[in-house]
Amino acid sequence: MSAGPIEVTVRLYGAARVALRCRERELTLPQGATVAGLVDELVREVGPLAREYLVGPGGRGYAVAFSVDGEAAQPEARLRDGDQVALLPPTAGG
Amino acid sequence: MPYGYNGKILKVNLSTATIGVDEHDEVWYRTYLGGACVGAYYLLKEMPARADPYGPDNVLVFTTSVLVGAPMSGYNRYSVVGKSGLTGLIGDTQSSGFWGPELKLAGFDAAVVKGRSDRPVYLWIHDGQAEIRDASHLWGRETKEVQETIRAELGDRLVRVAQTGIGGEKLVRFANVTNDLNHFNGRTGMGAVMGAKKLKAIAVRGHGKLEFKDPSKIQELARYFTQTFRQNPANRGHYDLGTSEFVGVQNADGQLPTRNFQTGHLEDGEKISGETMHETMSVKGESCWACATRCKRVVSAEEPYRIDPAYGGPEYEAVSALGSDTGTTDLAAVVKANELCNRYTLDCISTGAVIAFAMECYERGILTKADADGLDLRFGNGGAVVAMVEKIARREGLGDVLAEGVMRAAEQIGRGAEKYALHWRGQELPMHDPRVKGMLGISYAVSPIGADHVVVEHDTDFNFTAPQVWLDQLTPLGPLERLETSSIDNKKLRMFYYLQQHFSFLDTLTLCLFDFGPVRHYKMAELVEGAQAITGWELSLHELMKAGERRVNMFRAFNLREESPLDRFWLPERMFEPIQSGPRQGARVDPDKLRVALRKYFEIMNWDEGGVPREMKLAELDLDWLEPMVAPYRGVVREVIGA
Repeated sequence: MSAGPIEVTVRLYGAARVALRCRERELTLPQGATVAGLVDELVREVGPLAREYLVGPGGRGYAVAFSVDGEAAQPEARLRDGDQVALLPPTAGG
Repeated sequence: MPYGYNGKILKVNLSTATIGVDEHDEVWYRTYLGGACVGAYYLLKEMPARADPYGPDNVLVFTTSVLVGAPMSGYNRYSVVGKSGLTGLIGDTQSSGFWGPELKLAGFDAAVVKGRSDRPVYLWIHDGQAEIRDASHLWGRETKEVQETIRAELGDRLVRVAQTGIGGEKLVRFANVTNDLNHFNGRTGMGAVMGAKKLKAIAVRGHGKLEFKDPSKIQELARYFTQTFRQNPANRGHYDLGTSEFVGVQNADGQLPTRNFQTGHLEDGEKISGETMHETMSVKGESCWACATRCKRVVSAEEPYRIDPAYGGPEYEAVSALGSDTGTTDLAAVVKANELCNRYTLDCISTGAVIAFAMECYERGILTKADADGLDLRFGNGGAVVAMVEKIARREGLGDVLAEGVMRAAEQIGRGAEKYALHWRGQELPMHDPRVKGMLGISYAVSPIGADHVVVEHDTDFNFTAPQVWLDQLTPLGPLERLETSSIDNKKLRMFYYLQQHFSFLDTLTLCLFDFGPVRHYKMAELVEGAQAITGWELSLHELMKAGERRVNMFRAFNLREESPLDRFWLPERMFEPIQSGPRQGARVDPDKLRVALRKYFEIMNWDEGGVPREMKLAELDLDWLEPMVAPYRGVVREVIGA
């Protein structure tokens, strides 16, 4: 059984989409990659501005919520080949 | 010498054309602080029970707080409080902008308007003076012309004008109040109360100076906020895109009210998202007085509709109400409909909701094309939405029926239309879905002003995927754990209880929730530091939370004495039916759990089974003077939970 890389699609919303000029992106990740690893890869590819929009202040937690194939997901969730990952900015009431 | 406030409240009687001033001592100011508490104080003291909201006995209060006018982000708001003609209950609505600080600089903390003029008038407040002026030449004019005319005749371009427009003149029950043309006291129809009083506008201008206890601390806090607010995900989103940022993500998450709340996902919904608006239309950010967040959006366009940027641009609620809730993906039509709402001072949530209601009636055969004045009112027809906004504002044809709000419109239409009228206590549902967010359902059910989405921060802000910084900032109120989004168990009710008092004191101090809400940038400690620096009082978070609870109980007392059949605690029937499609398909509110939660809400509030505050709860909040008003309702077996 091959342990080759996986291909996932990541979709951005809200201020992150506009600031990073990135609506959707295909990412190649190692087998066993997590949602958190996807964020790291996106920061590496897009640049440090992505950290500002995706990672929480002071590096504590995240500034977006995650869903994988429409289901809410935690940062430690493992990804599979073909997954569709959404990075959802928090919708603060009001 | 008072710090932060003037100690003067303007009293105007339009029936007798008389003007006076109330002065209160420091204890009074520290007890009621401003905003909704000051408003409710005057309503409870000076308005007879069960007064006609459009009659001379209604008391309409325009009020700032002891903090407004401090040169920091978020300290610029004011409230309008009166009896609502939409709900028949208390009405309370806040607006940002520049009008509130200007009133303070003009020497007054609030203006209390009673009576009814027999001809159109406006109030001119300036540097400790006030006069009632003729407004006959302004009646029937659009708000932009009214503002320009008033500024010209007063000879000062910096006069700030709060006014109601054609919708208020026509007594559209959800007409609002605008200041500077693009800031709004939305919800509860206070513009119609102005219209009924023949009060076209209140113009203010002041050259005074407010005294603060610790100006250097205020400077320090202002500098800190301006330099760091973009670290907070919510403030950064507001700065970059405004609240329309929520449209796309709510749709992706399956909780964007669509086609009169039948579903939570709009096909091609990205066409009306904030990102699309930003990318395809001319949009710029605009600020309120002394605020760095710049969350307001100003939109202009020439084709296919001319959009006048003087009227601002749509917020999330407007895009959802006029867009997804009417099934419309025509962004230009949505933005035009919003501009017309603003131009005519119609609440955009209620306007969109009442049109969505009419569209569902049309699709179900309850309304015909003839009933709809020849309009094809199918969901998704953006042109029909634009046309219907015009009709509502002018009360023409079906618009005259819809101008009454969904509850009364459904009663007039009959034929089962009531089932599709989504309101609570007579006010149309805002654009958030209780089938997804548990605390939101409690908010709609218990809100004294009718269905309201700003009773507490929303469940998604503290769930298992929310930013950690938000939970950290919530912890001074007590809750330490993340909670599941849809739950309404004891832990969630505890969170709701604390958040409600918190939001309620923000509305009392007329602070902007976009800067001070628990998930926004100011931390609780900074809020308290700011309040101390302004007033010189040893204020604490505890004292402010009690002020919030005081407001809720004053509102409860007002609603009890109205003895209205609408004063019930529940949700519209559709909330117990599953969301029809999208990522949240199948989500619904369990009525049995809701009933239990509402009973427990009464317990945590120290209210009896009929929702009546107990004697010692009133005493604990220093509201003993309400006891004679409330006591007759206590112990009377009255089932108020349920439809």
